[in-house]
Amino acid sequence: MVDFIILGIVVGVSYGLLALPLSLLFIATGTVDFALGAYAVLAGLVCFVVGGPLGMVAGILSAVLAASLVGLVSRLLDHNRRSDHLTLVLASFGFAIFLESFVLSTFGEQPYVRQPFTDYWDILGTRVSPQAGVNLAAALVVLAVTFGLLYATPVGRMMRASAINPRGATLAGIPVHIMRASTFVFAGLLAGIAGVLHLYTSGLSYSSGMHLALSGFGAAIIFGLKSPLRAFLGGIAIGVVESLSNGYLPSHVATVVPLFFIFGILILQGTSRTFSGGRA
Amino acid sequence: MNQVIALPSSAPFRQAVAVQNFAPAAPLTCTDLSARYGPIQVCFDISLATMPGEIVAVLGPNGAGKSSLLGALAGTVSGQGSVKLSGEDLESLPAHLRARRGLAFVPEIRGNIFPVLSVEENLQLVLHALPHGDRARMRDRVFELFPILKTRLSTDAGMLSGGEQQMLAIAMAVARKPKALLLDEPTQGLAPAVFDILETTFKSLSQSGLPILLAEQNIRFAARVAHRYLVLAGGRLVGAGEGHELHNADRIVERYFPKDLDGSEDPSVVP
Repeated sequence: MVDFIILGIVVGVSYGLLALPLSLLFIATGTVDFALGAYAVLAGLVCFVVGGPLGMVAGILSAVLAASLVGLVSRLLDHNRRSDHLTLVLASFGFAIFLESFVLSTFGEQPYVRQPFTDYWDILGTRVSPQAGVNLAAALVVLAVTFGLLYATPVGRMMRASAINPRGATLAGIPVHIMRASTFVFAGLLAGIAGVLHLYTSGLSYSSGMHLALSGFGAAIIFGLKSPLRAFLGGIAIGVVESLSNGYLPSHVATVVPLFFIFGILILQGTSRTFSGGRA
Repeated sequence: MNQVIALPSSAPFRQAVAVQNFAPAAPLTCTDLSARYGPIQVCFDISLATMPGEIVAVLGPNGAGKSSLLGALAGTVSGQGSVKLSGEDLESLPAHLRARRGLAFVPEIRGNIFPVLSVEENLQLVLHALPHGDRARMRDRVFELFPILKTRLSTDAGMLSGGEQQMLAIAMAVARKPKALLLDEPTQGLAPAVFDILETTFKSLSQSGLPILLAEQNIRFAARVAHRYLVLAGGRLVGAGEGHELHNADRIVERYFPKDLDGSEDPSVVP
């Protein structure tokens, strides 16, 4: 049982890392950006291509930069349609398809993966790749930086204020449009980090984006889309449920168990205050 | 050129024009200011000026254009015409830069507070924009005006009572060391007990030299604080006078707020 929980946490971290920017953008714009998975794919593949000749650090930096730039482009799409949430969601699907086509034409159909570790750790009798430790450490750093930025800096306070009450933020002298653009860039950066970790964990191909976005969305909605921390924890929860069901149930049943888990939590949200809400 | 010329030359109105002639010394002036929501124009060629320490009440029933006028001044409503603050042209600036230049706006229903942030975080948002040396002083000033806020620092703004939220909304505007203050219906929905606190606050701010433009439907409250008043109807300036005239609220209502066709008075105006 412990080994499945450990594996679930490892998988859940990657879901949580995508749920985090999804939640941030939802707070800032009131909509769900389904193109975030495509940002992650683009970042992962840029990391692979640049990291080969120039080294891992250059690869990671260029990947995160690419995802941040795509976040900024997404902000430009948002700029003209900000009053219509449904249009924004549809636009994010369109942008995701555009990025997928761009990645297909630039990087080709083949999957990309980097697995620098050949040895495994033995944790309570479970073989765990050191990459899982890297993912967990990266996730903790990302969480700490995100929450440090949002809750302990004036810029974070202004970002939250702009998301909560744009008119009030304007009257407080805050440049709301710059804060919104910063949120998009930061979300792109987080998706880029998630993409790089996926490249080093399970690999990526041009078509991985929508699967990643839906996994992140599922993670984000179960404990409250309005709270980045709850969104991240939602990723861990889904990962553990998925791992346990894979371990103890027939495969055809195990596939649907995480979905029933999400439905169950959503139904509980309607009847209980425990699972609902969240704080920007 | 502007709406003022077309108006009847009543005594109060002549006084309003006389004050406008002092516009170069007035911290806040607007000339021929119009406001619109898309293709619909809601304010027409309004000119006004507020002197240092002066409280000018803008009266009128629902739909008269009071909020739109204040929004056009603050930049939150699309406007056309000249807006000057201490001689600086503001009309080309977006709302957040007008706020930074010193034009503070408290919209109706405390629209400038952040309900899920604590009182401390709300105040920090505006105090942080000040030079280091001014932050502690303005923080003290805010607590001097509204001591209750000091006891609510860790409370989410949305959990405060309506009166406390209004105090926070005004505190956030005042904490920026503004050059002029726009207040939209600050008494709306509040208990009369809070009126005393607001009256004391507005008079204190006025004594410190801050000009205040106060959009208000409660004529009795306006009478307690205003040095002058303007009346808007249908987006146009239709009258003006001295603050002491407001003590005869029934006369003001009779003169400026016509009864409906069925003979009933406009319920939005509180005489």
